[in-house]
Amino acid sequence: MKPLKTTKTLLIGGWLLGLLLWVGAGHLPHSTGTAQAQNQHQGASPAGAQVADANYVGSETCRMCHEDQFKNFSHTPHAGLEQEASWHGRVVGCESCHGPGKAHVDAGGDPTKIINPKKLSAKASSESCLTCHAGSDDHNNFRRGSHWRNDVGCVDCHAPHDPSPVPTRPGSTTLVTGDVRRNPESTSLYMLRASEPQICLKCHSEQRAQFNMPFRHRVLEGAMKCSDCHNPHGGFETRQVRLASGTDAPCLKCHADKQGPFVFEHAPVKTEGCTICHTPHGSNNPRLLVRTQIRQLCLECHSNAHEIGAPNTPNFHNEATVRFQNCTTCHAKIHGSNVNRTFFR
Amino acid sequence: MKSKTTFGLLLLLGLVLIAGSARAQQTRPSPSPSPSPETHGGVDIWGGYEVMTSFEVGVRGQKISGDTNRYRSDLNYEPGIRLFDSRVLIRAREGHKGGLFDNFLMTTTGFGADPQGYIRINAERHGWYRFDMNARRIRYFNDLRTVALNQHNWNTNHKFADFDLILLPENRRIKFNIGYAPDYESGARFTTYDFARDEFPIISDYRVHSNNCRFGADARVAGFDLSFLQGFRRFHDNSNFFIRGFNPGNNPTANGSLNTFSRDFPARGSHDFTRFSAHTLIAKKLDLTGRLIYLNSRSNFNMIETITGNNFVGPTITGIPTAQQPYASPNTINLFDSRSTGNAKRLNGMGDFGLTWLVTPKFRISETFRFNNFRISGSDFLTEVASITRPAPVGAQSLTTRTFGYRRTKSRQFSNLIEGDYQFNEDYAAHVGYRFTDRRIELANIDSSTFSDPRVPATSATGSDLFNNRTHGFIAGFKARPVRAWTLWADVDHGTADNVFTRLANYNVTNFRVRSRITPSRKLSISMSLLTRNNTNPSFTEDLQLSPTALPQNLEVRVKSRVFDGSIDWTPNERFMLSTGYTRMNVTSNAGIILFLNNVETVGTSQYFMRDNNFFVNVFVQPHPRLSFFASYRINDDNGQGSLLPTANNVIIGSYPMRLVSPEARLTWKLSNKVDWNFGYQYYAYHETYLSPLNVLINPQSLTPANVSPQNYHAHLPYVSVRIYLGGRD
Repeated sequence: MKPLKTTKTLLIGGWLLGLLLWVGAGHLPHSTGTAQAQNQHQGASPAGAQVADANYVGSETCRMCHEDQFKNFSHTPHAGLEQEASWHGRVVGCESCHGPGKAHVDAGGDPTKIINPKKLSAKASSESCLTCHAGSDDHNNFRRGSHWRNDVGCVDCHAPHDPSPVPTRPGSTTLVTGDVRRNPESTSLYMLRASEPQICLKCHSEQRAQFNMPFRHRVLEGAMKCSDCHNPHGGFETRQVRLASGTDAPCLKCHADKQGPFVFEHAPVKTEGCTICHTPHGSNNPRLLVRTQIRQLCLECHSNAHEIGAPNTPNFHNEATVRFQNCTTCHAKIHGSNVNRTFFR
Repeated sequence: MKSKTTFGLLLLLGLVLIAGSARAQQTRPSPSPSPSPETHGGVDIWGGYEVMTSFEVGVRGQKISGDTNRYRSDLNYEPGIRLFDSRVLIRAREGHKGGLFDNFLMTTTGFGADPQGYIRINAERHGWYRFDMNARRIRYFNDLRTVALNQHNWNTNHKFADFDLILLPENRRIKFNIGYAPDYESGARFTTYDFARDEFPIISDYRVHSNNCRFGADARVAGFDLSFLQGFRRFHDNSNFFIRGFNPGNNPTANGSLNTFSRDFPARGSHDFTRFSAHTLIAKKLDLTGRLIYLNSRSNFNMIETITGNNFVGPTITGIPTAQQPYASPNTINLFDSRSTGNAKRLNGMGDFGLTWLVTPKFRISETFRFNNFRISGSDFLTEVASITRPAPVGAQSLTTRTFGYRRTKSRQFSNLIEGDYQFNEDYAAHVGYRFTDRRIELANIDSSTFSDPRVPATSATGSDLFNNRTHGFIAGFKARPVRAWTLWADVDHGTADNVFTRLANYNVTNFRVRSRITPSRKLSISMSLLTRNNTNPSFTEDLQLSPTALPQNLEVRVKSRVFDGSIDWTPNERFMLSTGYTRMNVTSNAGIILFLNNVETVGTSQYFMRDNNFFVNVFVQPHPRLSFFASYRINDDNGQGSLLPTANNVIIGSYPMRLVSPEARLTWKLSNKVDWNFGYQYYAYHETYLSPLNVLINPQSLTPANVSPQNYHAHLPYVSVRIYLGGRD
């Protein structure tokens, strides 16, 4: 119990400290970052740096030559920062990612005098985005996430200039198939290059097969999206899953009746998680189970090895009969029960 | 739901106004110059907004042959009028400031004759708010012969939504967020109840709903990014269970039957959590992130169950111990009344800490640490009153049983991952890491029973278990881009996994994954991947030895998974597109088990096979500017165990050989710039050869093996629709 109390104390204390800092924020120096240091870091950009440097020429200057990019960019939330009071005096617009443009302009558009994120590594170009975006709870683990680790960067999924409109093409009426379905997730959202399942499936293409199985979560149908369960920007959880209701698996956000707490918990549900019995993306087995026969699932744990905590089946469970081959006809409340230790009701 | 949704929307609107007040205190920016607004041919202009709308509405026909219930379980598309999809985009014109919003996007899909439909709304006003809504409706039907003797079927509606509002979304120093998520599920569910050693199919009027609220703030203070979130969930389960008339039960060897059965089992739950996280980047070299979450989860319940029935064989009426032989059968249950009340709680504290040190611009070291402690405890008091009439001379008798049960599960886990990644150049990167976990789980229980009959002694028992395990794992991987158009990723994970409950020892895990993407141009993309997973788990049983001198049985588990995937996307021009792919998934599991066969403890094996082939191809062709054609073919074919059959009844072989084929075609004729006419056809063919453990299908009604037809079906789904564009094609 002590660790739990400690956690609670730390939480309350942390929040109070944050509140104190917030109240006193007007008297505290703001973290400005330094444009120069950022520039030195693999050419990453000075987003958020103060505009005191004469090397910055402003986005309107960029527009003179890069009209198309400017037009697309002007529809993005990034473009709106120029009007934000909290960003006044800081580098926003094109030069927040591409760096100071004076040398580039003075050289008549010399491409070597400007940062081109396309030519940077995924990590280096992502550093540019993280300068501003690393702070949110959703993004602050990107530097430790699977995508970072495998050198997949922000611009692999997001188009900072806003994506080109996806051509309207007829497609499947029920599934997202390539880029021919009208996007259930508009590409204008979060400046994604395509609708979310399409982006994810380009690399994680094996998941498409599971989403085509008879029992599946309706991702290709557009009723769900990958980020309902996963945080593509990293996270502390295995497989970058999101947490639901505090510390629970994302499954319990929708399957609330499995959340409990129950008096008689089926312990693995809470200690190992739902995936010990279910394959979340899709399965040929009913209920997304990892085995066809439920008794296989049960017996592979409840098999006479006391040390694992799963009690043995009693000897009247005669597996030679059909009756005892269907465990959940008796143990119907297998996810947990409030009144029956053997999950009968 | 409607009133609550309205309330939620009003609440959000109020917060928008509050945000407006806060916003008013900030310096007003000057409007940005916009000398030449873009002109859109045919785009509707409403004031300062561009409006683009399209929707497709049509009618779908349906013809199904074969097992309609399985069709509904898999697909559940219905005939009738259907709003295929719709989209409304309202966007402030360039050079114009929006009023209530700058961008408003609403998309809907699947309403009408589809089993799943959703509405998504995204609206934003730069600098003021961003609002996201995602409301979904799922019609869930489930009628499956292979699950619980076809007696756990569902026909429910699930409606759930998320409303999220961020105030001051672009503000550098602080932003607020608030969210609301209602969740309703109701309908008929069918389940079973074990009473007096017989199983009775029962009906459930399933009614579960929850309301989730959350609010928080993100602030940037003194170089720290602070994030706070407070969440509340209130859960209500108002389900009840009953039977309609006489119910003989499943078990053909039992004589017992139910005349009436009714169970009310309301439960209430609350899940309140607080999350606080902080992040900072020190000197552009040290990324620190910390997070603390505290969850206080509680549930309370009451149960009232009444049963009448007769002729139960044996003494094993729930709650009546074996020792109470005087009450043995034959008997009539005049009333078996169970009442229970209790509660449970779960306190969970979780802390995470992450650190990334950018040692050099190319080399980084990351450290991730987590502790996770939770305790679940709960108790219930159950009172069962059995009023039984036995043949003369015993006559009517009654027994009251009072049972108390308490359970506690404590878990404490630490995990640590340290890794380093090196960026050789923009084309090559590699990483290595080491993972350690330590977990301790304690289980405790108290059970006691007292009986109104003095001949039956009270019982009391306590117990506890303790499990400790530690795991070690090694990860490594790289990304290589040998040429501009080809990228290769590979990683490996080797070590032990943390599954204390599934087997005696930790899983020995070796996972390997390699992915390749070839993109010679934006028009062509070729992807391939190979994933292999090997798990072994030696488990020596200690309490079954075939002879006093024999060694303990090794109930080893071996699981192998192999996935190969390849896909091609080719779009040479705007008039042609080809997308195709193939995935092969193999899973082979072999687990030693111990089971009872005719009361004899027997060593056996449990084997599971999946040999799944999945292929798809999508083609789009536009032979004429007014005519386009889409065709698709998808097949999912699992060969399962093939010709392998169990040789004895201590060998369980499971697989689900099946094939699902679904071709689709669609013809689109552009009648005008505002109207498309569509004709389409979808076909689904499902064929299964599910094998029971004894290689015969099971008749769920008699619990005896019989030749029951598999749940095959063919479905034809033609449709005609029009897509109407208002405000131009987007």
